[in-house]
Amino acid sequence: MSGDAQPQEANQQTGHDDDHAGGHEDGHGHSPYQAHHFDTMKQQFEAGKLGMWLFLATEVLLFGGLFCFYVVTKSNNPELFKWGHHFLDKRWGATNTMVLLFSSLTMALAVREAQLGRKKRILFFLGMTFLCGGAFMGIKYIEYSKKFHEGLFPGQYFVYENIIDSEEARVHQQEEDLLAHTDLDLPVASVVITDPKTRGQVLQPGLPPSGLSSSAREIEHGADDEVHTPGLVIAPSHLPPGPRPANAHVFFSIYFCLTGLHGIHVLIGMAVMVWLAVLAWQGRFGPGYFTPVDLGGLYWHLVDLIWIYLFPLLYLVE
Amino acid sequence: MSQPPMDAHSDPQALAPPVAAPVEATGPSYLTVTKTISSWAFTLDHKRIGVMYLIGVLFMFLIGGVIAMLIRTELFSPLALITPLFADTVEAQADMYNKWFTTHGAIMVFLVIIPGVPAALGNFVLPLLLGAKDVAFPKLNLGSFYLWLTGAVFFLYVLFTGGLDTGWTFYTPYSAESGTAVIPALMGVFVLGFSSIFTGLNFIVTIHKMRPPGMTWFKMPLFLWATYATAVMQVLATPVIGITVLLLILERTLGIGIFDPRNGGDPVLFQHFFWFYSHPAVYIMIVPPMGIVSELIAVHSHKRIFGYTYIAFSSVAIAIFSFLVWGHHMFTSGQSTTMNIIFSGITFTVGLPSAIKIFNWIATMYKGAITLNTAMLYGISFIFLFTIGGLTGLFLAVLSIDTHLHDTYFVVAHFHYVMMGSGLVAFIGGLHHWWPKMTGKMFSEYWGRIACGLVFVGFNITFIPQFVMGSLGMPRRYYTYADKFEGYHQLSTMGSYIMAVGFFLIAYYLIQSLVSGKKAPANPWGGNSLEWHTTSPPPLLNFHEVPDATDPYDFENLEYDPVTGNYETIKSA
Amino acid sequence: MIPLSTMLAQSKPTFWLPAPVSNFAGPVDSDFYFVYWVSMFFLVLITALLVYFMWKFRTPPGARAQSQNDHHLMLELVWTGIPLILSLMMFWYGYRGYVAMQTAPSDGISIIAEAQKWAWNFSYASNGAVIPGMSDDFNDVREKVRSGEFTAEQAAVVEDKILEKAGLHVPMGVPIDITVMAADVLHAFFIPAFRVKKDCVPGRTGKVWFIANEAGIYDLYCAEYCGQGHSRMHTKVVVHETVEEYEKWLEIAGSYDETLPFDQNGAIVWKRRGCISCHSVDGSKKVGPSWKDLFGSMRKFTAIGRPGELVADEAYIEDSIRYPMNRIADGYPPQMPVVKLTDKEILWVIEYIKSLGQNSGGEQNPRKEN
Repeated sequence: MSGDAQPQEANQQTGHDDDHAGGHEDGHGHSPYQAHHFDTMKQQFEAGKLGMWLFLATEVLLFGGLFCFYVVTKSNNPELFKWGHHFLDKRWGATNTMVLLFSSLTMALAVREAQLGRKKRILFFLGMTFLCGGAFMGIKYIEYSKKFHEGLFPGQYFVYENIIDSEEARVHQQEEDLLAHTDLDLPVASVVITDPKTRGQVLQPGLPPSGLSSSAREIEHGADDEVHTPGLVIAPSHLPPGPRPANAHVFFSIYFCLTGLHGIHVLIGMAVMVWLAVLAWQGRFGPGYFTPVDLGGLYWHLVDLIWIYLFPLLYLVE
Repeated sequence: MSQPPMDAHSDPQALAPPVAAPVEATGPSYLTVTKTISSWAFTLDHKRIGVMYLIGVLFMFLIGGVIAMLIRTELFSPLALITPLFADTVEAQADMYNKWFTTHGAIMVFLVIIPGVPAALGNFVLPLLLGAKDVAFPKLNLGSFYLWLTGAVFFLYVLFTGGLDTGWTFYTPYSAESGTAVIPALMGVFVLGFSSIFTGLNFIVTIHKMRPPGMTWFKMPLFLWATYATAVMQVLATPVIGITVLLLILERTLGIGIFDPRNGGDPVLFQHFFWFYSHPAVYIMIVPPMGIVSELIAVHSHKRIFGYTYIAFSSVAIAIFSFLVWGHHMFTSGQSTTMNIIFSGITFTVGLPSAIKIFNWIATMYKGAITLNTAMLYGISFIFLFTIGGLTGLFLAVLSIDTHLHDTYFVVAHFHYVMMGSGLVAFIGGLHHWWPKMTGKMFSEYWGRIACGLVFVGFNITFIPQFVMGSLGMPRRYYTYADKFEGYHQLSTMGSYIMAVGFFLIAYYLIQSLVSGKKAPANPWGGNSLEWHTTSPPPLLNFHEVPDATDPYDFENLEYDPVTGNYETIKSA
Repeated sequence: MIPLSTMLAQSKPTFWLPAPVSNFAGPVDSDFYFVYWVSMFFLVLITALLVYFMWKFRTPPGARAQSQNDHHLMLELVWTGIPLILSLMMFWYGYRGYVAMQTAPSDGISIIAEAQKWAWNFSYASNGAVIPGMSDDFNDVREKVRSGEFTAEQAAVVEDKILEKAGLHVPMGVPIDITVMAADVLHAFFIPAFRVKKDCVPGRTGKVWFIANEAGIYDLYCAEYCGQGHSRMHTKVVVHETVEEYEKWLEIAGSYDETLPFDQNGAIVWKRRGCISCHSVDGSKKVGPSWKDLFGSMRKFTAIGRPGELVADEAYIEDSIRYPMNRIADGYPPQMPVVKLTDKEILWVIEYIKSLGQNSGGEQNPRKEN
């Protein structure tokens, strides 16, 4: 029979035929989960594993760019870090670290249970991992909203809307100077806080500005006191004085980029947990096939590992 | 006769292929087994994915090429020639030109040359070379294609909504402030980056895990070594451009202060980030074509490739060293003297493996039985053109000389010689070499040789004057120029028209072959790697009878049959 | 003054390179020709082998190769070793030449070259003069030559006139120490005849030095893409025969004729300091608003996030020059660089703008409280 594509014709080729239509039976000796282009489950599993490790390598390099941003900024402007890290609460950071470490444990246990094919326990541990991820994101939400609410030192940081007040103050300051002098004696970039109490003083790097919480500020200065905004930078005159004031905001750029990209990866991981749970609920996993859980676990461990680096670099380094 | 399922790959319970048949068996090929649009759109067959990539890449090459012709036509004179057709004011005309060179570069680099050989040819040929049914992750492969398509859509969007004028290199601060469609372009680059990463990932796992019994690393065809080395670069380097474009988007939208000095950033840091990827990227662009050349020269000389181990290791050496030289794009940027010296030194080491390949290829031709097919002519063209491209790279690696030549037309000519004169030429050579296998049709060798000549001659006339202009001081990315350069520009433009005719001729006879070409035998050129041991085109699952691993460079067991034009295997497996 | 156009360099350009008229040209050119001849040798060798083999070993399909020899260790060593040695030599020459370029002598004349979109300004440390590159004027002359309006001789005369108060002027035989800067985006300072190039990076300064060996006029280009006017940032370098001649030029060039009315000087500033690149005076829209009928009109702008309105009075114009990023006029991009004008230059510009059409009507900006 030359070239008839009749599916019913048995073929005795070199052993790795596709399953025939009509059943999940392992009529030809391989698992229904084995893709037809692989010869053995072992080959498939190893391929998947190698593929996942390669993918993790790409993730490391992706974050690598952000770590490079961190390193370059820290070595050129260490004062930004000395000053900025005060706004990060070590307690929340440490809690998150514990949460993720614990979630890695539950993930590893989920993989173990998948190997043993114990459906309820797989679902339990996947669920725990998911909840840990949720707790992590919840804490991040608390941290982020506190920062946004405070505006930090309003106007000085990367959130655009908040620098209007500082811009007005800056324009005001510079118009005053214009009227006062014809020749501006421009100092090199420095940070001047115009605060009713400290007007005109130069902020010392390392000293936290007084009053960390915005509520405290409001009590002190009133919510709409136009001068309770800071942040003038008088740049050297060959630089265009940008719409952005001091470089302090760069610290927060780094903070939000690193934790933000990490947070996105946690969310993706949580979605992966849901997907794995669906597969587990369908009873797919057992000693012969647990690859998705294993690979999902690898991904989750990497997400945890990246946080293990982030935490000290952002929260603990002075 | 019941219909086979839509696509056998999508259903793990799919039906078996036909009974073991001789290589000339008739029966559905991968092209004809199903014919619906959705069977192509949702295919998991690497061959169909390769064909779709091929069509897409060639289409984007057409667009990028048309833009190139606009540029060369405009540069025929220092006065505005055709930009007034597109823009009213002098300023808008200059902007138009800037958009042309930017989009030409971005399209060619990200949509044509980087994906080109791996995605369009590699996808098709890789599993065949391994005697496998598919790549390791067919669904990921389809995903890569759709990511490529999304990237193409982003760039078409950019073309239709005002263009991009930052240069394909997106240097800050200009790219942070330009009013053109920068963010869609950056999103396109991001998506294309992931397409490339997943392709590389797929190929690494395929080569590691799906080699047939008997095919050890050093028994692989050299195209696989090249593909492997490239895939490693794709996986490790591309994420860096991913994060770079993300950060640039954030710089533009939020002013995060990494690359724009107005926000406290450093423009040179952008260059480091950008070139950390883009230098390995240029090797991603050239190493697979070099792999093709190894196949072309060996097969069409019917002689064992000379220095197999050296060529294999040279691909790996290039992959490793490619990560260490990015700073040679930044010699005049204000980078420290020490770094400049280090980068210059390492750059010379990365040039050596390429030189070794050239000599080994020439040695392969010595005392071979050379059939001057179109594919072989492209392979030989590659050797000549890459020699020029590589040697002119030496000028740029020398610190004192680069101070003079950086950002002049000398650089433009250099990279066109390596990316186009070498990379694209080898791609076309590979396309001709595997055309019978992919389509089952033979094209006209007569027109093939003529077109090759036109492309070769046209290319040299286009770009040699640019070397001279550059060393005489003509800067690049210039819309208007000093009169003394006019003659060179005119010669260059004339060459580009000759080249364009050559390309249109290629399109013509290749399309004609699809319509009325002779039916292709299984092994028209006399190769011995596994793709030549199946029908042209192959069946859906690649082999009617999976062959054992062969020595890909053993040409002694092939006998040419002048009647069928086929090289028969005389020893049974 | 000796007509500059009659000062021709004695050295001639070659096929590949401009006339070598600086201290670096000799070393760079000899490095160039070393690489060139090595490259020529290999190109000819490889081409000859290719052509010969294509001819000698071509066969019809089906023929067998004469040999299947696929390895030869000695050959591999030779064709790896020789390129390696040549590469090391090339690296070494480049390194030596480059290090020389980085070590400026301490007794040079200091000049700052500042690039902006799309003009050059040269500040001379000795007298604080800021001399523009006047690229637009040179471009005008070139266009007139191409269109036939000027003959070459007429063009040379006009260029000389421009060069009296523009361009980068240096004396021959003296080390010139240039600090390069950028006001806005990346640019690059490139003098092909001298074989020098340095990127102008906003936010930092770069250094480049040279000694010009022959009197003459040479091209200075921007060699880093900077947007619309990149190819128009083309000015000239004038090398004066003697230091005295150079100093005499500097004294005249740096001066304004203060007997001229303010608005006339303002027109000169408009051209000299590059305002012309982005601001027209005839109402046509360029990158920035036209100055025609600007004075006294109500200007709508965005002051970083908030819209605003002010009458364009003297204070408004001065602020726009000193702090261009404060207020971005509606419909225009935030791209004006800080141009360091002296107080007098600002005054003249204000008067010039006034002369281009005023809006009367007595509208005034609200006075600032406090």
